[in-house]
Amino acid sequence: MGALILNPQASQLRRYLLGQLLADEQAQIEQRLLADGDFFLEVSISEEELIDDYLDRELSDLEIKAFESHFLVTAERRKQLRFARRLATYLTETEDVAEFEAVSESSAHAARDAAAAPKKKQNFFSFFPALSPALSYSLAAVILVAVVGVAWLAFRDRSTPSGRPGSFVAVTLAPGLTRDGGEIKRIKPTSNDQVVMRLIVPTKNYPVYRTRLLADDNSEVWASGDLAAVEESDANVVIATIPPGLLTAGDYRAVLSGRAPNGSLDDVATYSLRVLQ
Amino acid sequence: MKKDWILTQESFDALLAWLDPSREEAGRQYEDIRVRLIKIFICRGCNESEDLADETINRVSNKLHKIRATYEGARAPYFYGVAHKVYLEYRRRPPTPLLPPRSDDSELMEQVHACLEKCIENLAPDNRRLVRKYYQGEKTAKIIRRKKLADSLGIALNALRIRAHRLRGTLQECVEGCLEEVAT
Repeated sequence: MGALILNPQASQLRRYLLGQLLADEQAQIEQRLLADGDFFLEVSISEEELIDDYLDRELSDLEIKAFESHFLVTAERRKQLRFARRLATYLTETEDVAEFEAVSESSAHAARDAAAAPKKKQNFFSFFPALSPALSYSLAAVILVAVVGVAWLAFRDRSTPSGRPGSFVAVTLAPGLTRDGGEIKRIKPTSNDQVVMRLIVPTKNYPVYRTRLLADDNSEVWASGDLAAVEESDANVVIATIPPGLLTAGDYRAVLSGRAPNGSLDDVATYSLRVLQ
Repeated sequence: MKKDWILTQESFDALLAWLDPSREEAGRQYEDIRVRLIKIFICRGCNESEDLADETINRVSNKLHKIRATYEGARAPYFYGVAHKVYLEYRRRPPTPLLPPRSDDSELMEQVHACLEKCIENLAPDNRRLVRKYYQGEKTAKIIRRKKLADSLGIALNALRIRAHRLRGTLQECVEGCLEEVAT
Protein backbone atom coordinates (compact mmCIF):
# COMPACT_ATOMS: atom_id res chain seq x y z
CA MET A 1 0.00 0.00 0.00
CA GLY A 2 1.06 3.58 -0.65
CA ALA A 3 2.29 4.41 2.80
CA LEU A 4 4.60 1.42 2.72
CA ILE A 5 6.60 2.45 -0.31
CA LEU A 6 10.04 3.12 1.05
CA ASN A 7 11.87 4.20 -2.05
CA PRO A 8 12.23 7.99 -2.12
CA GLN A 9 11.29 7.93 -5.81
CA ALA A 10 8.06 6.14 -4.96
CA SER A 11 5.84 9.05 -5.86
CA GLN A 12 7.50 9.47 -9.25
CA LEU A 13 7.28 5.74 -9.87
CA ARG A 14 3.61 5.75 -9.07
CA ARG A 15 3.05 8.64 -11.47
CA TYR A 16 4.98 6.70 -14.09
CA LEU A 17 2.71 3.68 -13.64
CA LEU A 18 -0.32 5.93 -13.92
CA GLY A 19 1.02 7.55 -17.11
CA GLN A 20 1.33 10.95 -15.47
CA LEU A 21 4.98 11.76 -16.22
CA LEU A 22 6.42 14.02 -18.88
CA ALA A 23 8.17 12.29 -21.78
CA ASP A 24 11.73 12.95 -20.54
CA GLU A 25 10.89 11.81 -16.99
CA GLN A 26 9.33 8.67 -18.43
CA ALA A 27 12.44 7.99 -20.53
CA GLN A 28 14.66 8.32 -17.45
CA ILE A 29 12.58 5.82 -15.55
CA GLU A 30 12.47 3.36 -18.44
CA GLN A 31 16.19 3.48 -19.10
CA ARG A 32 16.84 2.75 -15.47
CA LEU A 33 14.26 0.00 -15.55
CA LEU A 34 16.11 -1.62 -18.43
CA ALA A 35 19.54 -1.38 -16.83
CA ASP A 36 18.93 -1.88 -13.11
CA GLY A 37 17.60 -5.18 -11.78
CA ASP A 38 16.74 -3.80 -8.33
CA PHE A 39 14.76 -0.99 -9.90
CA PHE A 40 12.90 -3.48 -12.08
CA LEU A 41 11.91 -5.32 -8.89
CA GLU A 42 10.81 -2.05 -7.30
CA VAL A 43 8.61 -1.27 -10.30
CA SER A 44 7.02 -4.73 -10.13
CA ILE A 45 6.29 -4.38 -6.41
CA SER A 46 4.94 -0.86 -6.92
CA GLU A 47 2.54 -2.21 -9.57
CA GLU A 48 1.11 -4.67 -7.05
CA GLU A 49 0.86 -2.02 -4.35
CA LEU A 50 -0.95 0.30 -6.72
CA ILE A 51 -3.42 -2.48 -7.52
CA ASP A 52 -3.95 -3.17 -3.82
CA ASP A 53 -4.49 0.52 -3.14
CA TYR A 54 -7.07 0.62 -5.92
CA LEU A 55 -8.90 -2.35 -4.42
CA ASP A 56 -8.66 -0.82 -0.94
CA ARG A 57 -10.10 2.45 -2.33
CA GLU A 58 -7.04 4.39 -1.31
CA LEU A 59 -6.45 6.23 -4.58
CA SER A 60 -7.60 9.77 -5.21
CA ASP A 61 -10.23 10.43 -7.87
CA LEU A 62 -7.54 11.57 -10.29
CA GLU A 63 -5.49 8.44 -9.63
CA ILE A 64 -8.52 6.19 -10.09
CA LYS A 65 -9.17 7.79 -13.46
CA ALA A 66 -5.53 7.30 -14.53
CA PHE A 67 -5.50 3.77 -13.13
CA GLU A 68 -8.55 2.75 -15.14
CA SER A 69 -7.69 4.59 -18.34
CA HIS A 70 -3.93 3.96 -18.45
CA PHE A 71 -2.70 1.36 -15.98
CA LEU A 72 -5.43 -1.17 -16.71
CA VAL A 73 -5.25 -0.91 -20.49
CA THR A 74 -3.25 -4.12 -20.97
CA ALA A 75 -4.58 -7.63 -20.54
CA GLU A 76 -1.58 -8.43 -18.32
CA ARG A 77 -2.49 -5.73 -15.81
CA ARG A 78 -6.13 -6.74 -15.80
CA LYS A 79 -5.01 -10.27 -15.04
CA GLN A 80 -2.97 -8.94 -12.12
CA LEU A 81 -5.97 -6.99 -10.84
CA ARG A 82 -8.20 -10.05 -11.11
CA PHE A 83 -5.74 -12.14 -9.15
CA ALA A 84 -5.32 -9.46 -6.47
CA ARG A 85 -9.09 -9.22 -6.06
CA ARG A 86 -9.46 -12.98 -5.82
CA LEU A 87 -6.63 -13.29 -3.32
CA ALA A 88 -8.07 -10.51 -1.17
CA THR A 89 -11.53 -12.11 -1.27
CA TYR A 90 -10.13 -15.52 -0.42
CA LEU A 91 -8.09 -14.20 2.50
CA THR A 92 -11.05 -12.26 3.86
CA GLU A 93 -13.38 -15.23 3.53
CA THR A 94 -10.98 -17.56 5.26
CA GLU A 95 -9.68 -15.08 7.83
CA ASP A 96 -11.71 -16.43 10.72
CA VAL A 97 -10.87 -20.01 9.82
CA ALA A 98 -7.19 -19.14 9.62
CA GLU A 99 -7.24 -17.41 12.96
CA PHE A 100 -8.96 -20.37 14.49
CA GLU A 101 -6.45 -22.71 12.90
CA ALA A 102 -3.60 -20.56 14.18
CA VAL A 103 -5.00 -20.80 17.70
CA SER A 104 -5.48 -24.55 17.31
CA GLU A 105 -1.97 -24.86 15.92
CA SER A 106 -0.42 -22.98 18.82
CA SER A 107 -2.46 -25.06 21.27
CA ALA A 108 -1.27 -28.19 19.50
CA HIS A 109 2.30 -26.89 19.69
CA ALA A 110 1.87 -26.26 23.39
CA ALA A 111 0.46 -29.75 23.85
CA ARG A 112 3.31 -31.27 21.83
CA ASP A 113 5.85 -29.21 23.79
CA ALA A 114 4.33 -30.39 27.02
CA ALA A 115 4.40 -33.98 25.81
CA ALA A 116 7.98 -33.65 24.63
CA ALA A 117 9.20 -32.05 27.88
CA PRO A 118 11.26 -34.43 30.04
CA LYS A 119 9.03 -35.91 32.67
CA LYS A 120 10.30 -36.31 36.16
CA LYS A 121 9.31 -39.56 37.76
CA GLN A 122 7.40 -38.35 40.71
CA ASN A 123 5.52 -40.07 43.44
CA PHE A 124 2.07 -38.54 43.84
CA PHE A 125 2.66 -38.07 47.55
CA SER A 126 5.87 -36.18 46.98
CA PHE A 127 3.60 -33.15 46.38
CA PHE A 128 3.55 -32.91 50.13
CA PRO A 129 7.19 -33.41 51.03
CA ALA A 130 6.99 -31.58 54.30
CA LEU A 131 4.13 -33.67 55.64
CA SER A 132 4.27 -37.02 57.32
CA PRO A 133 3.05 -39.98 55.20
CA ALA A 134 -0.15 -40.31 57.23
CA LEU A 135 -1.03 -36.64 56.84
CA SER A 136 -0.15 -36.80 53.14
CA TYR A 137 -2.56 -39.70 52.57
CA SER A 138 -5.37 -37.87 54.42
CA LEU A 139 -4.83 -34.65 52.47
CA ALA A 140 -4.73 -36.57 49.18
CA ALA A 141 -8.02 -38.24 50.02
CA VAL A 142 -9.68 -34.86 50.69
CA ILE A 143 -8.38 -33.47 47.37
CA LEU A 144 -9.56 -36.56 45.51
CA VAL A 145 -13.09 -36.17 46.88
CA ALA A 146 -13.08 -32.48 45.96
CA VAL A 147 -11.90 -33.17 42.38
CA VAL A 148 -14.52 -35.87 41.83
CA GLY A 149 -17.22 -33.57 43.22
CA VAL A 150 -16.27 -30.65 40.99
CA ALA A 151 -16.07 -32.93 37.95
CA TRP A 152 -19.54 -34.31 38.66
CA LEU A 153 -21.02 -30.82 39.04
CA ALA A 154 -19.42 -29.72 35.80
CA PHE A 155 -20.78 -32.78 34.00
CA ARG A 156 -24.29 -32.29 35.41
CA ASP A 157 -24.39 -28.62 34.39
CA ARG A 158 -23.34 -29.23 30.83
CA SER A 159 -26.45 -28.48 28.76
CA THR A 160 -25.05 -29.12 25.28
CA PRO A 161 -22.75 -31.81 23.99
CA SER A 162 -20.02 -29.32 23.20
CA GLY A 163 -17.16 -31.79 22.83
CA ARG A 164 -13.98 -29.89 23.43
CA PRO A 165 -15.10 -26.90 25.50
CA GLY A 166 -13.74 -23.61 24.21
CA SER A 167 -13.21 -24.92 20.69
CA PHE A 168 -15.01 -22.62 18.27
CA VAL A 169 -15.02 -21.05 14.85
CA ALA A 170 -16.00 -17.40 14.71
CA VAL A 171 -17.40 -15.72 11.64
CA THR A 172 -18.59 -12.16 11.13
CA LEU A 173 -21.50 -11.81 8.72
CA ALA A 174 -22.77 -8.68 7.04
CA PRO A 175 -26.43 -8.59 6.04
CA GLY A 176 -27.57 -9.22 2.51
CA LEU A 177 -24.56 -11.08 1.13
CA THR A 178 -25.75 -13.70 -1.23
CA ARG A 179 -24.11 -16.43 -3.22
CA ASP A 180 -24.60 -14.33 -6.34
CA GLY A 181 -22.49 -11.56 -4.86
CA GLY A 182 -19.52 -13.89 -4.73
CA GLU A 183 -18.68 -12.80 -1.22
CA ILE A 184 -20.30 -15.52 0.80
CA LYS A 185 -18.37 -16.27 3.98
CA ARG A 186 -17.02 -19.78 4.35
CA ILE A 187 -16.11 -21.67 7.46
CA LYS A 188 -14.70 -25.10 8.14
CA PRO A 189 -15.83 -26.21 11.58
CA THR A 190 -15.15 -29.72 12.85
CA SER A 191 -17.99 -31.69 14.39
CA ASN A 192 -16.73 -30.62 17.84
CA ASP A 193 -16.63 -26.91 17.14
CA GLN A 194 -19.17 -24.38 18.23
CA VAL A 195 -19.80 -21.79 15.54
CA VAL A 196 -19.96 -18.25 16.81
CA MET A 197 -21.80 -16.00 14.34
CA ARG A 198 -21.31 -12.28 14.76
CA LEU A 199 -24.24 -10.81 12.87
CA ILE A 200 -23.88 -7.14 12.00
CA VAL A 201 -27.20 -5.46 12.72
CA PRO A 202 -28.24 -2.93 10.07
CA THR A 203 -30.12 -0.71 12.52
CA LYS A 204 -30.50 -1.13 16.24
CA ASN A 205 -34.23 -0.72 16.73
CA TYR A 206 -35.04 -3.73 18.83
CA PRO A 207 -34.12 -4.46 22.43
CA VAL A 208 -34.12 -8.20 21.73
CA TYR A 209 -33.33 -10.32 18.68
CA ARG A 210 -33.69 -13.93 17.67
CA THR A 211 -31.77 -15.85 15.05
CA ARG A 212 -32.86 -18.80 12.95
CA LEU A 213 -30.44 -20.78 10.86
CA LEU A 214 -31.95 -22.28 7.71
CA ALA A 215 -30.44 -24.90 5.43
CA ASP A 216 -30.45 -24.61 1.66
CA ASP A 217 -33.87 -26.33 1.49
CA ASN A 218 -35.26 -23.80 4.00
CA SER A 219 -35.50 -26.32 6.81
CA GLU A 220 -34.68 -24.86 10.21
CA VAL A 221 -31.38 -26.15 11.55
CA TRP A 222 -31.23 -24.15 14.73
CA ALA A 223 -32.89 -21.23 16.49
CA SER A 224 -31.58 -19.01 19.24
CA GLY A 225 -33.29 -17.71 22.32
CA ASP A 226 -33.54 -13.96 22.98
CA LEU A 227 -30.30 -12.14 22.21
CA ALA A 228 -29.37 -8.51 22.80
CA ALA A 229 -27.29 -6.55 20.30
CA VAL A 230 -23.82 -5.62 21.47
CA GLU A 231 -22.46 -2.20 20.63
CA GLU A 232 -19.00 -2.46 19.08
CA SER A 233 -16.74 0.31 17.81
CA ASP A 234 -18.09 0.37 14.27
CA ALA A 235 -21.31 -1.62 14.39
CA ASN A 236 -23.93 -3.29 16.51
CA VAL A 237 -23.67 -7.05 16.44
CA VAL A 238 -25.75 -9.94 17.65
CA ILE A 239 -23.65 -12.88 18.75
CA ALA A 240 -25.26 -16.26 18.21
CA THR A 241 -23.49 -19.47 19.16
CA ILE A 242 -24.47 -22.62 17.30
CA PRO A 243 -23.81 -25.84 19.22
CA PRO A 244 -21.35 -28.33 17.75
CA GLY A 245 -22.40 -31.02 15.31
CA LEU A 246 -25.36 -29.21 13.71
CA LEU A 247 -23.65 -27.92 10.59
CA THR A 248 -22.72 -30.15 7.71
CA ALA A 249 -21.25 -28.98 4.40
CA GLY A 250 -23.62 -26.73 2.49
CA ASP A 251 -25.12 -23.28 2.28
CA TYR A 252 -27.05 -21.72 5.11
CA ARG A 253 -29.06 -18.57 5.72
CA ALA A 254 -29.23 -16.90 9.10
CA VAL A 255 -32.38 -14.87 9.58
CA LEU A 256 -32.22 -12.18 12.23
CA SER A 257 -35.55 -11.07 13.71
CA GLY A 258 -36.25 -8.30 16.18
CA ARG A 259 -38.94 -8.56 18.82
CA ALA A 260 -41.41 -5.69 18.49
CA PRO A 261 -43.04 -4.12 21.58
CA ASN A 262 -46.23 -6.13 20.89
CA GLY A 263 -44.20 -9.33 21.07
CA SER A 264 -44.23 -10.15 17.35
CA LEU A 265 -41.00 -10.94 15.51
CA ASP A 266 -39.98 -8.75 12.55
CA ASP A 267 -37.39 -10.04 10.11
CA VAL A 268 -34.48 -7.59 10.19
CA ALA A 269 -31.79 -9.08 8.00
CA THR A 270 -30.59 -12.23 6.28
CA TYR A 271 -27.02 -13.48 6.15
CA SER A 272 -25.40 -16.14 3.99
CA LEU A 273 -22.88 -18.67 5.19
CA ARG A 274 -21.19 -21.62 3.52
CA VAL A 275 -19.89 -24.54 5.52
CA LEU A 276 -17.05 -26.45 3.91
CA GLN A 277 -16.14 -30.05 4.52
CA MET B 1 3.66 -6.24 -35.96
CA LYS B 2 5.65 -5.95 -39.14
CA LYS B 3 8.29 -8.65 -38.94
CA ASP B 4 10.67 -8.43 -41.86
CA TRP B 5 13.57 -10.20 -40.21
CA ILE B 6 13.73 -13.44 -38.26
CA LEU B 7 16.32 -14.23 -35.60
CA THR B 8 18.46 -17.12 -36.83
CA GLN B 9 20.71 -19.23 -34.61
CA GLU B 10 23.72 -17.50 -36.12
CA SER B 11 22.43 -14.00 -35.40
CA PHE B 12 21.33 -15.07 -31.94
CA ASP B 13 24.86 -16.32 -31.22
CA ALA B 14 26.24 -13.03 -32.51
CA LEU B 15 23.87 -11.12 -30.24
CA LEU B 16 24.99 -13.13 -27.21
CA ALA B 17 28.64 -12.57 -28.09
CA TRP B 18 27.96 -8.83 -28.31
CA LEU B 19 26.24 -8.80 -24.93
CA ASP B 20 29.08 -10.53 -23.07
CA PRO B 21 32.09 -12.71 -23.87
CA SER B 22 30.82 -15.34 -21.41
CA ARG B 23 27.93 -17.16 -23.05
CA GLU B 24 26.34 -17.90 -19.70
CA GLU B 25 26.46 -14.26 -18.62
CA ALA B 26 25.25 -13.18 -22.05
CA GLY B 27 22.27 -15.55 -21.77
CA ARG B 28 21.38 -14.07 -18.40
CA GLN B 29 21.61 -10.53 -19.81
CA TYR B 30 19.48 -11.50 -22.79
CA GLU B 31 16.75 -12.82 -20.48
CA ASP B 32 16.93 -9.73 -18.27
CA ILE B 33 16.68 -7.36 -21.22
CA ARG B 34 13.75 -9.27 -22.69
CA VAL B 35 11.77 -9.32 -19.43
CA ARG B 36 12.43 -5.63 -18.84
CA LEU B 37 11.44 -4.67 -22.39
CA ILE B 38 8.18 -6.54 -21.87
CA LYS B 39 7.59 -4.53 -18.70
CA ILE B 40 8.30 -1.25 -20.49
CA PHE B 41 5.81 -2.10 -23.25
CA ILE B 42 3.21 -3.06 -20.65
CA CYS B 43 3.82 0.21 -18.82
CA ARG B 44 3.25 2.02 -22.11
CA GLY B 45 -0.09 0.27 -22.47
CA CYS B 46 0.84 -2.23 -25.23
CA ASN B 47 -1.12 -5.43 -25.37
CA GLU B 48 1.37 -7.41 -27.41
CA SER B 49 4.26 -6.68 -25.11
CA GLU B 50 6.08 -10.00 -25.64
CA ASP B 51 5.91 -9.70 -29.43
CA LEU B 52 7.14 -6.13 -29.25
CA ALA B 53 10.06 -7.12 -27.01
CA ASP B 54 11.04 -9.92 -29.40
CA GLU B 55 10.75 -7.58 -32.37
CA THR B 56 13.06 -5.11 -30.59
CA ILE B 57 15.64 -7.84 -29.97
CA ASN B 58 15.40 -9.04 -33.57
CA ARG B 59 16.02 -5.55 -34.89
CA VAL B 60 19.02 -5.05 -32.63
CA SER B 61 20.42 -8.37 -33.87
CA ASN B 62 19.81 -7.29 -37.45
CA LYS B 63 21.82 -4.12 -36.94
CA LEU B 64 24.69 -5.76 -35.14
CA HIS B 65 26.91 -6.06 -38.16
CA LYS B 66 26.75 -2.27 -38.56
CA ILE B 67 27.29 -1.23 -34.95
CA ARG B 68 29.44 -3.99 -33.44
CA ALA B 69 32.75 -2.46 -34.46
CA THR B 70 32.03 1.05 -33.23
CA TYR B 71 29.47 0.78 -30.42
CA GLU B 72 30.89 1.30 -26.95
CA GLY B 73 29.34 1.25 -23.50
CA ALA B 74 26.38 -0.51 -21.93
CA ARG B 75 24.17 -2.48 -24.29
CA ALA B 76 20.82 -1.88 -22.63
CA PRO B 77 20.44 1.77 -23.76
CA TYR B 78 20.76 0.69 -27.38
CA PHE B 79 17.84 -1.68 -26.94
CA TYR B 80 15.87 1.18 -25.41
CA GLY B 81 16.29 3.36 -28.49
CA VAL B 82 15.13 0.55 -30.79
CA ALA B 83 12.22 -0.29 -28.45
CA HIS B 84 10.99 3.29 -28.68
CA LYS B 85 10.86 3.07 -32.50
CA VAL B 86 9.03 -0.26 -32.30
CA TYR B 87 6.56 1.38 -29.92
CA LEU B 88 5.92 4.31 -32.28
CA GLU B 89 5.16 1.86 -35.10
CA TYR B 90 2.83 -0.08 -32.80
CA ARG B 91 0.95 3.13 -32.00
CA ARG B 92 0.24 3.70 -35.66
CA ARG B 93 -1.49 0.34 -36.04
CA PRO B 94 -5.20 -0.08 -35.34
CA PRO B 95 -5.66 -1.61 -31.89
CA THR B 96 -6.21 -5.36 -31.69
CA PRO B 97 -9.55 -6.15 -30.06
CA LEU B 98 -9.15 -8.07 -26.81
CA LEU B 99 -11.21 -11.07 -25.87
CA PRO B 100 -13.49 -10.14 -22.99
CA PRO B 101 -12.34 -11.87 -19.80
CA ARG B 102 -14.57 -14.58 -18.42
CA SER B 103 -16.66 -13.02 -15.69
CA ASP B 104 -16.25 -14.33 -12.16
CA ASP B 105 -19.47 -16.33 -12.06
CA SER B 106 -20.20 -18.51 -9.07
CA GLU B 107 -18.79 -21.66 -10.72
CA LEU B 108 -15.52 -19.90 -11.52
CA MET B 109 -15.39 -18.42 -8.03
CA GLU B 110 -15.63 -21.93 -6.62
CA GLN B 111 -12.74 -23.06 -8.82
CA VAL B 112 -10.66 -20.03 -7.90
CA HIS B 113 -11.32 -20.64 -4.24
CA ALA B 114 -10.33 -24.30 -4.52
CA CYS B 115 -7.18 -23.44 -6.49
CA LEU B 116 -6.17 -20.71 -4.05
CA GLU B 117 -6.69 -23.09 -1.18
CA LYS B 118 -4.57 -25.74 -2.85
CA CYS B 119 -1.80 -23.31 -3.83
CA ILE B 120 -1.67 -21.70 -0.39
CA GLU B 121 -1.52 -25.16 1.17
CA ASN B 122 1.45 -25.94 -1.10
CA LEU B 123 3.43 -23.11 0.46
CA ALA B 124 5.74 -23.81 3.38
CA PRO B 125 3.93 -23.05 6.68
CA ASP B 126 6.04 -19.94 7.33
CA ASN B 127 5.28 -18.56 3.88
CA ARG B 128 1.60 -19.38 4.29
CA ARG B 129 1.47 -17.35 7.48
CA LEU B 130 3.41 -14.55 5.81
CA VAL B 131 0.93 -14.30 2.92
CA ARG B 132 -2.02 -14.20 5.29
CA LYS B 133 -0.52 -11.64 7.59
CA TYR B 134 0.90 -9.46 4.83
CA TYR B 135 -2.20 -9.19 2.70
CA GLN B 136 -4.97 -9.24 5.27
CA GLY B 137 -6.57 -6.15 6.76
CA GLU B 138 -7.13 -2.71 5.41
CA LYS B 139 -5.43 0.65 5.44
CA THR B 140 -3.90 1.46 8.81
CA ALA B 141 -4.33 -2.09 10.08
CA LYS B 142 -2.30 -3.35 7.13
CA ILE B 143 0.55 -0.91 7.76
CA ILE B 144 0.75 -1.78 11.45
CA ARG B 145 0.47 -5.50 10.77
CA ARG B 146 3.28 -5.40 8.21
CA LYS B 147 5.58 -3.47 10.51
CA LYS B 148 4.97 -5.99 13.28
CA LEU B 149 5.49 -8.85 10.86
CA ALA B 150 8.82 -7.45 9.68
CA ASP B 151 9.90 -6.97 13.30
CA SER B 152 8.89 -10.51 14.21
CA LEU B 153 10.88 -11.89 11.28
CA GLY B 154 13.84 -9.66 12.12
CA ILE B 155 13.95 -8.16 8.63
CA ALA B 156 13.51 -4.70 7.19
CA LEU B 157 10.13 -3.71 5.82
CA ASN B 158 11.55 -3.49 2.31
CA ALA B 159 12.89 -7.06 2.56
CA LEU B 160 9.40 -8.12 3.65
CA ARG B 161 7.89 -6.39 0.61
CA ILE B 162 10.22 -8.34 -1.65
CA ARG B 163 9.40 -11.68 0.04
CA ALA B 164 5.68 -11.01 -0.19
CA HIS B 165 6.02 -10.01 -3.85
CA ARG B 166 7.83 -13.25 -4.70
CA LEU B 167 5.27 -15.34 -2.84
CA ARG B 168 2.44 -13.53 -4.59
CA GLY B 169 4.08 -14.27 -7.95
CA THR B 170 4.41 -17.95 -7.03
CA LEU B 171 0.78 -18.06 -5.94
CA GLN B 172 -0.49 -16.33 -9.05
CA GLU B 173 1.42 -18.73 -11.28
CA CYS B 174 0.15 -21.71 -9.29
CA VAL B 175 -3.47 -20.54 -9.39
CA GLU B 176 -3.35 -19.84 -13.14
CA GLY B 177 -1.89 -23.30 -13.74
CA CYS B 178 -4.51 -24.88 -11.51
CA LEU B 179 -7.38 -23.08 -13.29
CA GLU B 180 -6.03 -24.19 -16.67
CA GLU B 181 -5.92 -27.78 -15.42
CA VAL B 182 -9.51 -27.51 -14.23
CA ALA B 183 -10.60 -26.06 -17.57
CA THR B 184 -9.07 -28.88 -19.65
